[in-house]
Amino acid sequence: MNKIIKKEQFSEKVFKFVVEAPLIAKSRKAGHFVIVRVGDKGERMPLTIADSDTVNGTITLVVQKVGYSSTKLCNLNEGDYITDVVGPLGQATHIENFGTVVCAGGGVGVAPMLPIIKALKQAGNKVISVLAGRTKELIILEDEVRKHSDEVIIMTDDGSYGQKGVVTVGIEQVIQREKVDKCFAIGPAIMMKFCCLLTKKYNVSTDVSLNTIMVDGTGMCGACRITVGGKTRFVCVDGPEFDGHEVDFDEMFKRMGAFKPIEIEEMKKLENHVESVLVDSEIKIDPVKAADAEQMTTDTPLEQLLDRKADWRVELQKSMKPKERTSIERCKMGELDPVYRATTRLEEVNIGLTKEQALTEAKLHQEH
Amino acid sequence: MLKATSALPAVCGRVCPQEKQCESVCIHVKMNEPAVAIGNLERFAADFERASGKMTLPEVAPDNGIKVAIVGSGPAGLSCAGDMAKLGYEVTVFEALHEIGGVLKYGIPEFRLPNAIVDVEINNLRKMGVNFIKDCIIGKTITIKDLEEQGYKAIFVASGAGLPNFMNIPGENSINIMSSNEYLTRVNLMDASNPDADTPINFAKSVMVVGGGNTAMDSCRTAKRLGAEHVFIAYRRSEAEMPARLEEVKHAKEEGIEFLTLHNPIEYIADEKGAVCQVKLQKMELGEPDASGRRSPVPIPGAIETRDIDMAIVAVGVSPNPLVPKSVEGLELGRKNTIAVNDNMQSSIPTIFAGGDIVRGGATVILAMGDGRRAAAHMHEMLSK
Ligand SMILES: Cc1cc2nc3c(=O)[nH]c(=O)nc-3n(C[C@H](O)[C@H](O)[C@H](O)COP(=O)(O)OP(=O)(O)OC[C@H]3O[C@@H](n4cnc5c(N)ncnc54)[C@H](O)[C@@H]3O)c2cc1C
Ligand code: FES
Repeated sequence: MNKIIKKEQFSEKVFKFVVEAPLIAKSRKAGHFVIVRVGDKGERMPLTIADSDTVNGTITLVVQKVGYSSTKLCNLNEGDYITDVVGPLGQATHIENFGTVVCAGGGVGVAPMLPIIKALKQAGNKVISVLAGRTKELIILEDEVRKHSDEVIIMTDDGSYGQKGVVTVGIEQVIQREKVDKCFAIGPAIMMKFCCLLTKKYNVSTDVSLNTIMVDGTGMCGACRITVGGKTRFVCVDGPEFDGHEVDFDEMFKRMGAFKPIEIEEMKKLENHVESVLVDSEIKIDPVKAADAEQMTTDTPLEQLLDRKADWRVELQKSMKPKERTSIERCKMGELDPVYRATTRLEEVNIGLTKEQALTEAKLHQEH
Repeated sequence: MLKATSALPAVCGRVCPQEKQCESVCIHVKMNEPAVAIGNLERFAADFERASGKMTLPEVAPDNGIKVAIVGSGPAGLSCAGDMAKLGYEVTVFEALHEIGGVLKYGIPEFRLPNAIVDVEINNLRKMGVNFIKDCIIGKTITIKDLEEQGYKAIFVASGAGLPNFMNIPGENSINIMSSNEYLTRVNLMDASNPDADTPINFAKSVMVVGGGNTAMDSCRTAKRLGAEHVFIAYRRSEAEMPARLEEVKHAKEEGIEFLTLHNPIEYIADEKGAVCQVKLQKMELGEPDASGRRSPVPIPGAIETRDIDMAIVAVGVSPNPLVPKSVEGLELGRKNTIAVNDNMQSSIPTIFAGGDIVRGGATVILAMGDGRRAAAHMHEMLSK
């Protein structure tokens, strides 16, 4: 359980959360992400760490309402708790002094870009940031980005702020004007694809941060796999950043749509969302077994139980001739009917031995 | 008696391959008769105790004030935690996921091992004083070095074999082809088939499961339960070589799963949306025995069959989770990123022990539990010096 210390609205659909997570705040680096889960039946959702504060032990997340789970998170308020926050996950961004770097952030992609901009600046690079969005309201974190960049270019599709045009126009201006040594692009998959097509033309190496579907985020399931340079890689452990010129974006688009129709279904749930009741895994006591157990003792010392010559064992062994004993057939455990059971995922197939079966079978055991 | 010698009898009685273990050395087998149903008896005893309400906790020695850490809460971690708690240590178990139990929770389905059974065992450990911290990845959230600085005197790494293998054949990254880990995690851990849960899962009509182990059996039986009309297993060897428990194979067949043995997928074909719609299978025959002693399958030239499917689940094994091994400097590694240990389950760094699938690669619950107990014994020996 992690407490939300601060919530701020950036635009209609984008929110900033400052969340208590002291251990993660301490060990995270630029490029790392966390997995969060909201509610007991919540999905595991990856979010990049936009910032951290080691003194107060908090991390900053910037979230856009896109599907069911992100909307559920955005509906939480200051003082509420996020059910699970785990991380930091993934590989940290490879930072060095490249020279002149263009950092292109589209939409909420500016949030994961911010720590990279900071780290690049700190490493001595000349940082030119290109922020892009459909309209003025969708340009986020501008002040923070300005603080750590040598120059900021703003692009909006409708020209309501900065220059009118798409993100690649801004990048191209810089490349045509001066020598660019490295480019970072983070945003919607389609935006990253076109940034890479452009920078490939000018031969500027470009790193992208991929936001594929994930489940665990620890390399356990392969849901996040994509093809990079002809090889299958797991975004959660090998990434999330890769050489953009090697990524098979077309495959990635398709994979990201894998659960779309279902997600729309889920969205409907939000409208009439009822918090599910917590059911504890309680033990049900069976009165017959409880009565049987009353008759039994559990304080016999272990040595006596293990002693092959103990009185109780000898007595048991004598009660039946070996021949008689070996003629007992191996018992068969009861099972649910195959046709019925193939329709129920939660009912156990094997139903266990009855007391009588167990006692008979145990006699067979006596000669060991 | 079981309590003193086994850490999780209710679990073992359900999922261990008894026919290959205790029951295979049973004296009755030597007399050419069926073995005593030891597994069933084990389960009976544990279930009886639970349902009787007279559950007893093992005796716990007085607190000795020594802190030990356990990484991973699968069967290896849980059994080591239990033994160390009994000996009076202050035990903390760190788990990366949001649930305790490892494969017992995220992998093995409820129709074979109900979660409630695992929870009871975990609650017993809690009552014995074991502390569980979930959502904490050792090597990421905190390091082994941090643990040492916090005063943990010994560490048992039981982080399992989390990394799913794929076959690296064309089309394998199409939509609706997933690892058994993903499929089972979505369904078991995230409860995706329940309409109230947020995690999505796609439902399919015709499902192929690749592989012949327990994971393959669990996947195909789960697919059937989620409503698939036709589910088949594609396995490149013959049924005799299948590593799954005998009972699982029998149950799967009874439930209507088709067994397509001596068939190996070589290519997937996707529709225009990128979702798998067909698979090409290479027919095989058995050749000479290989290193594992099993007759190795060889392709029959030209014998290729194409089948329509709308989902494929790849269950061709797992590799050790590299997170911990990679994060500790100077830790000696074995084959395929496993952690190398001596007979005492001790790694090249004396205070770090390891066991279960992280040492063996994908193995079994009972071996993992055995490792946990052996590690506890030797850890105790080391710390008592
Ligand atoms: C579907 C399926 C069915 C199976 N059926 C059977 C069966 O019937 N019988 C049988 O004997 N065996 C079976 N097995 C194999 C058996 O489950 C494993 O051999 C056993 O669980 C291994 O135990 P473990 O404790 O080593 O690891 P795991 O159970 O894998 O537990 C490891 C735990 O460590 C956590 N972890 C990993 N890295 C870190 C980290 N850095 N920090 C903190 N935590 C971490 C993981 O999240 C996980 O919870 C099956 C396996 C699967 C997948
Ligand atoms: S999210 Fe499961 S392996 Fe990456």
